[in-house]
Amino acid sequence: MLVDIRIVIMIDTYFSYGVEETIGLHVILSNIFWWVSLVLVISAYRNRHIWNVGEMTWSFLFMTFFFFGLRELGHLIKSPMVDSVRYIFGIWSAIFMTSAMILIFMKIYMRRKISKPMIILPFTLMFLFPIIFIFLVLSGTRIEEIAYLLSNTEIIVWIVGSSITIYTTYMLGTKSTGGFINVYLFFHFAAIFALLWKVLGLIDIISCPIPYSIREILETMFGVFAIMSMIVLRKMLMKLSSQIS
Amino acid sequence: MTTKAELYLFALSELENSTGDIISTAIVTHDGLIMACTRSDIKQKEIFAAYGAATFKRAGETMEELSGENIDMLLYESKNHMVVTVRAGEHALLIALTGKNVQMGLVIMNVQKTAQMIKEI
Repeated sequence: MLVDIRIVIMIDTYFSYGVEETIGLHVILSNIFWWVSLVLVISAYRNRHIWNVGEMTWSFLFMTFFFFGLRELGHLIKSPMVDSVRYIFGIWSAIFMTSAMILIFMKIYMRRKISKPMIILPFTLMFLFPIIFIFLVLSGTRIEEIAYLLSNTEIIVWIVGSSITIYTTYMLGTKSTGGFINVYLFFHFAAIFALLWKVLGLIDIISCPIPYSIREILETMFGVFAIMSMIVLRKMLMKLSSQIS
Repeated sequence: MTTKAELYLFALSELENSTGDIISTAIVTHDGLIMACTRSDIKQKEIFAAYGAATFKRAGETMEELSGENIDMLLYESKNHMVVTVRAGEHALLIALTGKNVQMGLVIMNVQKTAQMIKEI
């Protein structure tokens, strides 16, 4: 009897400290941030002739926000199947965010021409994960196990992707001027928060339980800085567009 | 109706015609975005604008540190090329890349005259 009571208290304490994932304010905020960011990207895209970094870079930026928006929408439905799909969208978002920044870095910083393999590679990686997912489903693996596997994969992809983005945005920031410094700086901060968010997730998986509320805050901050970078970019392009028309 | 971008491009063409051995000219914002450029290569256009504006910004900071004044013109040259950058109004910069077979005084005078014209547009 005494033992049972102790267990109940322990679970309750864990819940109070936000160890468990919740559908709360952070989900609503994240959805707002990412979908508004997507609208900002589309709006900025209308003035792409002013900042001509290539159609593919704009497409990658669009897909970054679109897929992460879908990932965040997945929070609203709690099922292992939806979670698995959500993690795939998260992986896609990480791939395209990293690729977009690599393309800008190659073009502005390295002054290299964008080659075909650099465009094909993100799409190849993109299709790899749904294929793995379908293979696992057909091979009879339990959906809970697939969700767990994809969650871990998403963590690793985000850690690698955000690390690369931290480097590319830092280097781009050193070569740019005016409002672009802010665009790259905010993207840099976004990537740092993404990295922290996922590193804590990794630590949580390995051994030490991290209160989910801390990861929620980091994820929200990731969205805050991503939207800020898009606001600055759009503002710059709109301002110049009105000046030269 | 003629847009401002077209007027800017016309001013740049006039500058290139009146001064020999100008390779390319551009009007860019302080952010490094192109307002008008005579370069045809799109990739080079972006780099020309981004690096031109960034260099002017750094030079401006140096000038402010050394003399406490704002920079108005930046001139730098290599073995075969020369770059002149001047302010063209509050929000724009005029950048001209020239070859070596050009009279420096003439380039500076024409660039400044064009910058004044752009300011008035």
